[in-house]
Amino acid sequence: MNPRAENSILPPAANWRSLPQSRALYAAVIMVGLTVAVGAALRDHLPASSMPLLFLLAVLIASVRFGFWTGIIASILAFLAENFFFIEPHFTFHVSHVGDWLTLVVLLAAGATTGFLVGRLREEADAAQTRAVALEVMGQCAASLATCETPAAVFAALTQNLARVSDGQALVLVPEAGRLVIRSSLPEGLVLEPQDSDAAERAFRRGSAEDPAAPGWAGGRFAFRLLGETDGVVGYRPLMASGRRDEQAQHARHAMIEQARLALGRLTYAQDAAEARASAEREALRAALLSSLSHDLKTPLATILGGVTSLREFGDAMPAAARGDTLLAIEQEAERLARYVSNLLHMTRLKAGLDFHPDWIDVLDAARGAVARARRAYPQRIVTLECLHESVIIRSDAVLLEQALFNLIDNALKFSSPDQPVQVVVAREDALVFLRVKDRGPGIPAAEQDHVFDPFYRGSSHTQSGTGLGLAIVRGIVQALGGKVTLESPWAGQGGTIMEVKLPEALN
Amino acid sequence: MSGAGFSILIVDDEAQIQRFLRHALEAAGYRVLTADRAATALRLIGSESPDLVVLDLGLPDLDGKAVLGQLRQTSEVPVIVLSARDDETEKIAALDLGANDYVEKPFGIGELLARIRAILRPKRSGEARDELIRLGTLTIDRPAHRVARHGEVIKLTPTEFELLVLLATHAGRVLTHRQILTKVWGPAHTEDVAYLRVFIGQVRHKIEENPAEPTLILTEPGVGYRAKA
Repeated sequence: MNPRAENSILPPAANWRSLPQSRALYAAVIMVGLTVAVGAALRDHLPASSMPLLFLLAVLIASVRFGFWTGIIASILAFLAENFFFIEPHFTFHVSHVGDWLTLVVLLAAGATTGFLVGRLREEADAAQTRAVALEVMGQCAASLATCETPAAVFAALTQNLARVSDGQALVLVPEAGRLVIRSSLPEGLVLEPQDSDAAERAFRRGSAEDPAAPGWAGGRFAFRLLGETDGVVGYRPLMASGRRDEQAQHARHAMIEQARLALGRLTYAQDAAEARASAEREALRAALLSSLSHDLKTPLATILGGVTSLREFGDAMPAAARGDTLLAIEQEAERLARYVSNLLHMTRLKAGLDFHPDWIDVLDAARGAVARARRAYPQRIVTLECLHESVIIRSDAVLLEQALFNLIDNALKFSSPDQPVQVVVAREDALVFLRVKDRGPGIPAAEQDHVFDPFYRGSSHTQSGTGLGLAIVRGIVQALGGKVTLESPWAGQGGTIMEVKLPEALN
Repeated sequence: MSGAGFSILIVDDEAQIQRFLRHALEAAGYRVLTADRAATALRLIGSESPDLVVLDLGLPDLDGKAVLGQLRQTSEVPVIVLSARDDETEKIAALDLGANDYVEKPFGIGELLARIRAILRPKRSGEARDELIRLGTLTIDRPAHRVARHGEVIKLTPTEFELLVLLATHAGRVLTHRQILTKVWGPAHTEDVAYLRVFIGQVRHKIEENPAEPTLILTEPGVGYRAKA
């Protein structure tokens, strides 16, 4: 297999000393032959002293077009031809004047110098092109690394660009269970020789730069560089280039590996930052929980304890009406406390991971149960239930669904005025079941809509007592049941809120 | 009953707490005013001059400490703070701002009534500067610098005596570490809480029947001390 990348982007290597190909030899012969012909044709019109200039022109052209060695050969041929055809005695190689030898020297010098200069220029041009290509690859590499969001993406971008600029192979090895394994390679499915695996291990353990053995010597074929202590090593195998041209590629490779290290570092920082954020959020949640416990649990307790001790202390000294009112306050606060505690327990259960019992259930049954509970809790309020179907059978958990729906109705009743009804609608569309709870309350400000399902979040109006857990529990349950809860507020352009629960027919 | 004549302003945004407090305090013979916002409370204090204010620290319109600050600019009315917070620094801050005592929610009505009585008593009796102070079974003779239990004299150093007198003259009311240190040792020693603990230990050792379970000088954890009412 020819390991050179199929679509090489680098120019063919050029060198001023490169030996001429046979095509160039023929060209030298033809150039000199043409000059002889032209010289013969113009012999009567040109002064004899111009003849060497004609041959000099031929030598320069050959040299410029085909390089140093062609120039040398052309100058020798030109000297011989001129001597043979145009210097007396004609048609012999006999040289009678010392000046004629000087002509040879001048021709040789002109051919060699021109060939050398042109060759150097061509080399410079090639090097510039290599540099440009390397810069372009580096630029592309930097751009693609900047958008990488996972280490795997960084590895892929690095191997791809390293292989391009090296005109060869590249791979990334990462530590896994104490061994380095190939995570990304170009060409895909690359397998390392044992000596290369050893070199990779050395680069990883010691952080050393491992270079390939010189061509023809035993040893590894890849160069390896450390990417990071947890990120592993990168290896590449430049196949064609050597010398000046490879220097450019080497610079580019180092720069790209450095870019990859930075990209990996950036990902680590991003991950750290995300973890710090998550931890801050947990901390905020904990603080909210504590303050909620402190206020919302202690306030009803204060009324209960204070009321009971008042009754014990004063008993008959209190007017009957005051006694009755105190007892009612105790009852209401005990109920409120019971709701808080059950909400907290639900939340804890949701946080700990639910053990739910999927079964074929009728969503309408669950909805009827939730509506009945809401009517018991709010005897003065109107709660309607609408559904076009006789039954809506899905695979889900009836108890959890009823709880979620009750929390939605409870929320709607709490936040709408006492004379407004709350509608519950159950609908089935395609393979989905929708439960909608519609109220005509004040609606939820747009800025708060993203947060109402967050634990312990309470709206800015905050006129109602509550733990801020009701909707969080709804979201927890609905997610556990494979569904989604969303809200629309205001709806139908009239204010109020629709809470919509979307459930799949079958629980996965 | 005992509270006849005194008026008490209850400042709490929780309607349920207002409800039972009103019934209980009225049954105890107090006249009860209520406010659920700081603004209303401050207005009522100005116009009705209650004898005592029961103030919840968590009001919706103004932080409890800010209420205290504003109140103290114009009025010397005794204030008992209701706090749902277990935060000692919160209580100390309230006491430093001029609250006379605190009760932590949830509380029994007996506890609140005891605090109210402890604050209103000296006013009622007008005998706060009595030469003979009684603290449990102790008799404290201020002019003679003498403490006795059942006629048996207990020897106290001058500082110990001063400490005991301070606590006994504020019987039933909490005194913060800072308040005690300032009054007994002077303003330069307000932070020497360790000092105070040592002296309290010595005094308890001399006056308590069982120093391990003190009944005359009670510790308010993190806040200060309170002498038996």
